[in-house]
Amino acid sequence: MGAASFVVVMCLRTHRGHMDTLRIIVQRLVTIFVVVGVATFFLACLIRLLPGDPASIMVSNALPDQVLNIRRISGLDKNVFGYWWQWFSNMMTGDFGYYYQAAGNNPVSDVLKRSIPTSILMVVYVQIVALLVSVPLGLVSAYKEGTRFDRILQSILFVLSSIPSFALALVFSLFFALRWPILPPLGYATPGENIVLHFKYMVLPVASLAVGIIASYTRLLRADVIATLKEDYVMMAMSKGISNSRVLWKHVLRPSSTTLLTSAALNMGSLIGGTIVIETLFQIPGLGYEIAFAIVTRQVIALQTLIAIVAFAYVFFNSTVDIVANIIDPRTRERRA
Amino acid sequence: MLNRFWKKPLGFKLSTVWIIFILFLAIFRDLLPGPAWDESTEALGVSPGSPGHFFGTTQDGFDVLAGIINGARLSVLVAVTSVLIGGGIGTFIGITAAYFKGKYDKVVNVVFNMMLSIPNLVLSLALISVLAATKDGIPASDSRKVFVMIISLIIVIIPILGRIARSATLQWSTREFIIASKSMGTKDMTIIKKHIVPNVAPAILAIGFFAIGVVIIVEGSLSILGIGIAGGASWGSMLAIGRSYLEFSPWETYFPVACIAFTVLSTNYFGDYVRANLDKRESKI
Amino acid sequence: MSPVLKLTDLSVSFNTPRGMLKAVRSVTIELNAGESLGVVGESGSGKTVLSRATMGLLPRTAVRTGTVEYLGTDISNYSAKEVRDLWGTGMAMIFQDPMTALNPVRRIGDQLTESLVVRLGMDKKAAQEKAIALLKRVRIPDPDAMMRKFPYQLSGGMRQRIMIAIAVSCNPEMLFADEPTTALDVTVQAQVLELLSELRKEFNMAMILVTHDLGVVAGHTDKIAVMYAGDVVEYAPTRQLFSNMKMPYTEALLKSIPRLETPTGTRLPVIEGRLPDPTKDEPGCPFANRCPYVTDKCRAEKPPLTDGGNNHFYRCWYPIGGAQ
Ligand SMILES: Nc1ncnc2c1ncn2[C@@H]1O[C@H](COP(=O)(O)OP(=O)(O)O)[C@@H](O)[C@H]1O
Ligand SMILES: [Mg+2]
Repeated sequence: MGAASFVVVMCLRTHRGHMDTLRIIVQRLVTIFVVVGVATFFLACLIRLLPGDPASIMVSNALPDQVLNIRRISGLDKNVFGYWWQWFSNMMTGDFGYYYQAAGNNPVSDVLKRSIPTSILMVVYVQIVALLVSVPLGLVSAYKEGTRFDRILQSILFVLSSIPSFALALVFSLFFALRWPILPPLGYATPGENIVLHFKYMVLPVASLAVGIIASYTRLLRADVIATLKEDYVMMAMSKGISNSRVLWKHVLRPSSTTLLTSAALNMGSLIGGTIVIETLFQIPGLGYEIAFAIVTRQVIALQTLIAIVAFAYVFFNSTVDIVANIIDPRTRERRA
Repeated sequence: MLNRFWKKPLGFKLSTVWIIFILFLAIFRDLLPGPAWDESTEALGVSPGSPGHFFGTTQDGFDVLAGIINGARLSVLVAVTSVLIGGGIGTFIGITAAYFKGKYDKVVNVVFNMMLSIPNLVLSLALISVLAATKDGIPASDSRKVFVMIISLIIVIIPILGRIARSATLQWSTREFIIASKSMGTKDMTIIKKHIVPNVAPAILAIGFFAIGVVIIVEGSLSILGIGIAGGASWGSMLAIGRSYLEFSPWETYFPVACIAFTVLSTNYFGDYVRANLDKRESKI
Repeated sequence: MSPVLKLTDLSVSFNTPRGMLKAVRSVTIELNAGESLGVVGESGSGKTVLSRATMGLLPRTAVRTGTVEYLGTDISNYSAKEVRDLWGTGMAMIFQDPMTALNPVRRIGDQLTESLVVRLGMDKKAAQEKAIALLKRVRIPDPDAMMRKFPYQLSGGMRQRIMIAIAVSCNPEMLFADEPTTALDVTVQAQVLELLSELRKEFNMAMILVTHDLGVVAGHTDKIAVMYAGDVVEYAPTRQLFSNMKMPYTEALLKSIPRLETPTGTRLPVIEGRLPDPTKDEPGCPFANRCPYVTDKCRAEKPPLTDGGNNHFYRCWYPIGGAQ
């Protein structure tokens, strides 16, 4: 499990020499599995609550023995718990269930192989763009706290943070894909297929998602930088006679960025879920798009798997953010010790 | 009172005016002049400013302004009912859990965290697809869809406000005056009503405003995904239809988009405003 | 040769919601190379503001008048950039609280080599070596390991030594030490003061040692300025001041010095009463309400700075031992 080894590495880096490293890893993993387990069990219950037989809902006009077959493979013939356990234990062994169709069953893993990298790429681009823009903006507006520049920027950011990303997506595609067609309106290419095209397809969706995030990141960072600027060590750094921008970037940014990076880490999970609409609008075959597709086509088993993956990502980043905080700010190590 | 209003910041005034305007449209929809929202006219896709169609018409000949006015009613209905009911239930659960603690609190905490671990759009998608499903695959009626959407959104809202109520109560329930009140044998429900609720209310109010924004965005998103309200009966539904004609009649899309954006902006502003004043109050203590 | 530092009629006010707050009132002071001046006074008397105003490290709300001459050049109208070029290499500051004045998220080595690299243009390796030498000089054990540590891993005394090392790293002409030992244990205080004196002689720096404790400055300064409510109320060579104290306020300060022999836990005899409101300008001597020797004249008229001979200045109508 890549994720688990990630946790291990992070813990080893930050808790070097601590005896409780192993305990923390185990604790985290248990939390992640319990939450994902309970959440998916809840979903399993929902599926069983569906009026009618999930098997015949998935495949309309299915022949009776086909329905029987589906029920057997998917475990729908067992009780809720048995069904859920079969699905959950299959997941652990890499069997992610099937899209059940009249023409035959397609493994969900085939879809995952394409959609997970797509979504991860998109989320990573969004984060990179958001951080690249919001960090300088946050630093400057905090440094100029209370000035006209700062006040105007704050108002603009507040407005931008309240505009839904789909609204921006529609406006952007009207202007940059239809009126002045400099970018493709929808579609996707993987970096392997055509790297230039890949980025062209990514510009509008990433921009639509990034704007709101830039606004909230800038606001978060600004608040923390304002607090940091009052610290003695900032005046101490200034008294060395180094330039203001060096003071901001080298001395102020890092102690002020815990909240920002924590919420960026938290955003990773929710972004994957939050991209559903954007991926649908731009026809990008990521996880969000597949979730929407599974819902519309009533592929409940695939849906359960997809949601579990999103929930896993969400919980994973949720329960490891304090480790991120730890890396940025060594003071938190002291507090724990 | 009007005097005090004029002294508020510009954002506060604009937000108030916009919200009152939307509420007015929602309440007096039927008394307003103009074409019906669901009757197609001969004028297909005319641009805004045309005689009789101030906001233009859609490619199917529906009047956009009438659609906006009608959509206001649905947006207000969905947002207000789901946030009030969901917020009420969530607040009750959150406060009682934090107050009585013990096993009940543990269970509530786990359930809230679990529900919050699924992004709210995904959760409402899952709920709606289950609740709106009919046995024989016939699409659900519109009123049933609205009902199902409200139920799903209530479930989405419960943990959002519940967790805030819980953490706010945890902060307050250790204050001296509450412990003192307890030691004097005051009934728990009386303490909750008299001491806890008034103190946690501002925090919940602030998040409640944000929740309205969440609901309106989710409603729009569901329409775009094709499982929300259909036929242009809501703002989200209007833009979901209009976006296919974005190139030819963009007004079909940008009027509802603007309404959604302004409404979310206004409620977020109120949320921010309440929270900022809350911080001020807290720092005075 | 012109003095390292010459303040003439230096005043600082802050624009506050309650009106203009006069923190420093028309201070005139001169300091030669290698000389050290103690600035003493109760908390709130304007010592920190005076030293920061001299360096130009004031917040935007501050208004400064009067002149600051550094090595014979008037720097009071220097641009922000020009002043900044003096910081670190010309004038350096040691801050009061070593717990908060070191950046918690940067390694000691980085904080120490920064000025060397950025201000003196040393390459990384040379800066590293110089930093280790500096750490040795301020008597830090195992300097190589220290370079990689974070501030939270160190004691207060260690941190203060590091601050001192940072401050002297670019050989400044002039060192401001703002209550450098207030936050430290009594036993460590003496060591740090001793270190400061050594370094001052070694680098031939002028030094302003700010403290609320007359005992601290006694053995480590050439002259002393006593501040009260923004005014310099007594200004004399150290020996002269202790042998021939003129101000009732200075006398009261002396009585409030903590002594090693007083059992721990006994409260220090603080001076009765409080500082006057710095936003108001009341007539009379600002110390009148707290002075044991007060007369009607004291309440009516503010005494001017009087030259008592022997470079001894004071601001009192009825100096102890009478006027000379
Ligand atoms: N940034 C500031 N804004 C307003 N007033 C200030 C500021 N800094 C210091 N003061 C005021 O200036 C006076 C002198 O303060 P300070 O120099 O810090 O005293 P101390 O002698 O204890 O170092 C005090 O009344 C203080 O409140
Ligand atoms: Mg001070």
